[in-house]
Amino acid sequence: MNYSHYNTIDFVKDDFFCRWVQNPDKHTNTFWQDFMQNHPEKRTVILEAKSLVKTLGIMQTTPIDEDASLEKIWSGVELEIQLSEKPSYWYRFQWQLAASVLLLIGLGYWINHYQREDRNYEIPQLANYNKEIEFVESQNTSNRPLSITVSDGSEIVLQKNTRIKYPKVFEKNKREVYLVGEAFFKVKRNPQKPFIIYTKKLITQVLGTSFTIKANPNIEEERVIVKTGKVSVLAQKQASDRNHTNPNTIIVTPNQEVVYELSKAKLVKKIVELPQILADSSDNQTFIYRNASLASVFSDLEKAYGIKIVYDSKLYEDCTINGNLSDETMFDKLNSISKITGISYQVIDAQIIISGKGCNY
Amino acid sequence: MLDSFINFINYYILAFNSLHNSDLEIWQSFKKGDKIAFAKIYQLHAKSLLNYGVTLRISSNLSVIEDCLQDLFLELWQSRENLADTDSIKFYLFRALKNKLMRTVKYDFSKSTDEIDETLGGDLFEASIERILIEEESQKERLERLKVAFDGLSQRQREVINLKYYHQFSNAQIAEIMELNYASVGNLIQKALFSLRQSIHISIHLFLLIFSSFIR
Repeated sequence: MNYSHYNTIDFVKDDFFCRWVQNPDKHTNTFWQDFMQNHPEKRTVILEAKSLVKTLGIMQTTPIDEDASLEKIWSGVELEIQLSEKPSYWYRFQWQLAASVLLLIGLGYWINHYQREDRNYEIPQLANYNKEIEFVESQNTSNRPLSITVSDGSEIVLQKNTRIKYPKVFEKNKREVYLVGEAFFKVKRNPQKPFIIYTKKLITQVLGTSFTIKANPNIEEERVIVKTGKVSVLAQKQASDRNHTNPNTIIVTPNQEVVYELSKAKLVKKIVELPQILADSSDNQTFIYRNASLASVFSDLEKAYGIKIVYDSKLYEDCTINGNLSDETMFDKLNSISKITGISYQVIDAQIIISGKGCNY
Repeated sequence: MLDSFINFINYYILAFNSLHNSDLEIWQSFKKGDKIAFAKIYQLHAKSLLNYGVTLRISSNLSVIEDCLQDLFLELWQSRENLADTDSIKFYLFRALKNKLMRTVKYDFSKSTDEIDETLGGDLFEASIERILIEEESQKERLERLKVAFDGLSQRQREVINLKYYHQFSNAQIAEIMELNYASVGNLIQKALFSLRQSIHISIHLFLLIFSSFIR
């Protein structure tokens, strides 16, 4: 088959391609990896087609109570057959056996499922989990936040229904804790001893900073929200190479958050809903402008909120801003600027991207 | 106590599974009158068949589909000795269900307004960066919109997308289930994808952008 002239839709329609996406085996893997290597220009198209095929499957669900229907249908089948067959003990026994197998299979799935669910509530474990260390476990069952201080002086505030496990005394070269639920961390700075938080899906590593982790077992998403400093986050799945030079590590800075979304099985970086002005943006910005250039306003915003703004400086060099933006949230400021200058903005991957015509009125 | 019970069940399932490795083996046991094999076939495929039946949406009454499925399995058991061998039970059952549904509701599945418009195919993937940037919805909302768009497809378009991407049949198998010729399956898929795109009112590039976030 010559695939070199295929476009995205051609791939999406192709059986051999779909087999690779839906049920990959050695044969299809080898073929398509070779193909991508030999046709690097087709790589994007293939990745697009691959995700199309996947999503077209994912989006489909059965909008009814399947289990109830399936049970009803099966008992109907069973009854009809029993009625149509000669009433002998042997037949009846066979049916009971078949029915019990069906039940057992169902039960087995259910138990496996239940166990899997239950595992969510266990404290995540490390492969090289050191058994000689004495651990302390804290749990907050109350309705109020519970503040604890660990042996290095770092402070951890546990929200409701949150559990944490940590060594009574941290190891020499690292500070490791295990978390289920939501907690705010204020970590004492110590570059020699990185502070590492393991949750079900994420590994969060810091030197000294403050941030929140939301890893509730009954919510698919896990979230790390940074208040100060820098935090590196890695998905457990990608942590075979467990250090912060792993290329999958995401660095999160203040006013950003990283979300692990299960549906995508990957980390997504975002801007928090309500960015705060950073405490260390010392030059007390007023955000009151008279004939200020757009570039200078953007620069103020970048400094104040620590968020990168991407724009074409040439295109907007004639834009000027007049007005008082001091009482507005970051996004309100951006909205005001958009109204004044006629630009528009989008948030993509924790950056603000400016688009629209320039201002040579 | 509970642990040993669970182990017992897992062992039991394991033992049962190893008895029936391939579709052909299960099918042959079933034809000989093995009720455990029959129960296993039901357990493996009834859920998919139900999904297919519901997706076709030939009747707003769920019991129509349920009755068809019940009859299908009942007839399967009663005529087991006369059935041909199959190496894909799933395909066999889908075809049988489709035939049954057609006969039951006398719906003309071949009635079609889906002929592909050749003029639409060409520039499907024209890039439009500005339009990508305009979108501010979350991925979740987009997936929801996609689901709504899927519901709005014509019956045959829904059917082909369901068989191809949810039940993962090959084009040749789909051609047989839907009683189309092989080339029409490809055309119908293309048409369905185009309709999906149109009904969510976004450029195809954004459409792809949605999808691209699901790469694993």
